[in-house]
Amino acid sequence: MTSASPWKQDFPIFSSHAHPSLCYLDSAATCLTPKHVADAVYHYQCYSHANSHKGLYQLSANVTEKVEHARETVADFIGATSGASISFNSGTTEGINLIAFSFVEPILSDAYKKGKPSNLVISAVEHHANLLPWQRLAERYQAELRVVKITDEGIMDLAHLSQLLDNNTRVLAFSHCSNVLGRFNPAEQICRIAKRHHVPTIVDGAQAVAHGKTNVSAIDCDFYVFSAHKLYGPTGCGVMYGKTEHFEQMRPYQLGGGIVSKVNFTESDFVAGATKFEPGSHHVAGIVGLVEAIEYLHDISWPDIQQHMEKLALYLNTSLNELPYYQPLIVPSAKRLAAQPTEVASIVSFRLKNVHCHDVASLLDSNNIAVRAGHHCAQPLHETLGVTATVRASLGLYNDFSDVDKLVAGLDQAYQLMTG
Amino acid sequence: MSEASQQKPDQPAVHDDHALYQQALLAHHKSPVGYNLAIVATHSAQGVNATCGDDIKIAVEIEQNYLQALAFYGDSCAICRASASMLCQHLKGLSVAEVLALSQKVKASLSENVSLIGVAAEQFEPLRSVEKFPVRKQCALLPWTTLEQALNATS
Ligand SMILES: Cc1ncc(COP(=O)(O)O)c(C=O)c1O
Repeated sequence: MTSASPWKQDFPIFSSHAHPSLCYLDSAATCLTPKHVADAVYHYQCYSHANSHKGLYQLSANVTEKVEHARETVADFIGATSGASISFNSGTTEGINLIAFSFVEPILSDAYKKGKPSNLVISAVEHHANLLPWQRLAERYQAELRVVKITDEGIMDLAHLSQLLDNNTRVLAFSHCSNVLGRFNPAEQICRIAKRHHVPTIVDGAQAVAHGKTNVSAIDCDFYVFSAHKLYGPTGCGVMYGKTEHFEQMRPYQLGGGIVSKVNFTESDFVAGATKFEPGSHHVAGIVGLVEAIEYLHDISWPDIQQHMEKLALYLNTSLNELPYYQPLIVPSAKRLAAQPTEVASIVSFRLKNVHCHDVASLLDSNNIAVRAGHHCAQPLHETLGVTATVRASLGLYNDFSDVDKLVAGLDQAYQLMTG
Repeated sequence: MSEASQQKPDQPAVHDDHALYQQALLAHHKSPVGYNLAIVATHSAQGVNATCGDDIKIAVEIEQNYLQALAFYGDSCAICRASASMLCQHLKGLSVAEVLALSQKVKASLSENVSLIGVAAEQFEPLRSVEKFPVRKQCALLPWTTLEQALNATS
């Protein structure tokens, strides 16, 4: 494989009438869309669209079938044993809120009524989506929100985790991969530790799913959530995987059509299974796009994706490290890099000495380089690390060495202009 | 990022008329007026742009309704810093009422593209470059809204 991306041509945004010179380094925010996905959504919407799960006519039945089949495709994609464990929603944010309010809240409320103390455990790197719902619940039930520290390498401190978990811990929610540091947590090991304390686990997989084979069965978490748009699919579509044994005790978190088996004016019986969490009409176009994105990645194959991404991530990290004014948020230790040379983050957050990150991003933008600047929805993490904001560059399938070179040249120009 | 606003790669940002970082603005960024100046402040306020992390404090010394001294502190981007610097440079000696009136005008010129006229047009000309960069207007505005807060706060 050469250093050029063999897949860039699959993304119409780079075509000559659109943005041929775009250097897109913000895939952690959202991935650009391959033509396969856009076409699938277009074709579905033009030629197959109807309301799923409702109509008795063939067109609607076909759409129902598509959605139900999508559960199997997604289950297979994340290593779940059955499509029955897959529920569709609008994204990671909704998935976490759903679990917080339909699974965790009743447990907290029960303990609260019995006068038992409770605590919830998260990690220091969490995206606001995996922090605010827990803050809300902690406040509502006077529970303690405990935060596991991170190591110098930017992953969860497992010794600290063991200290924080106890008999009153009602849930452990953590990200599989941080959207700021790009490091993967040892999810299997973390869930094992939680299990020893009988603590249910929720894994925020938003940043993890596009970077390698996810296997929720091996991780053995209770819940796993992610968004289609961070996987080259459309926005507004997400997935909650849950162990089906939990579904019965969970109450729907939003109420509406399609989730009830019987309704009268005083009470309702809810349907069993994952559809209980899918009130209203399904976002079928989004689900179709997600399935196409999964198939697109499948066609390329994980080994090819990983080989390209690892090479590129290594080039990105080495090139940035050569800049004398480059200040990464986390400095990977030489020891770890020697031990795990392939485990180089494809998301890097950094500052340039004496240049504010917003100026860096603006100047890069003037060279058509898209990066993120700010706290990336992880303000407490930035506070923990003692900075207010950083620049974040993150890689996708369409990137290649030339994008890294443009970034480095752009940073150099920004630094000279602002400090020279 | 539209292609229309895209710059040719061989043209560094600084030479472009439409560039955000004009020389005059950069000059304020590099040698800011009033930055970390020790003054006997009678009024001050803290301003924060939550989305980008600009965090500045504006302090003024008011004597008999006139601004005798101005200073600013904190960590911010170059646009915010240059805006604060121009504010410190040009408001000294004006009355509180004059400053509030001018502040209204500068804010309107930044947020609604209303042209400044007269001396102010010349003094605050470098800030006009943010016109074409809507996401950065908040950076240029922050010192002004913070100044107004300081003036409205009782000492
Ligand atoms: C780690 C992580 N969690 C949650 C989210 C929220 O995802 P969404 O906006 O798709 O709901 C993101 C996206 O920025 C993320 O990176």
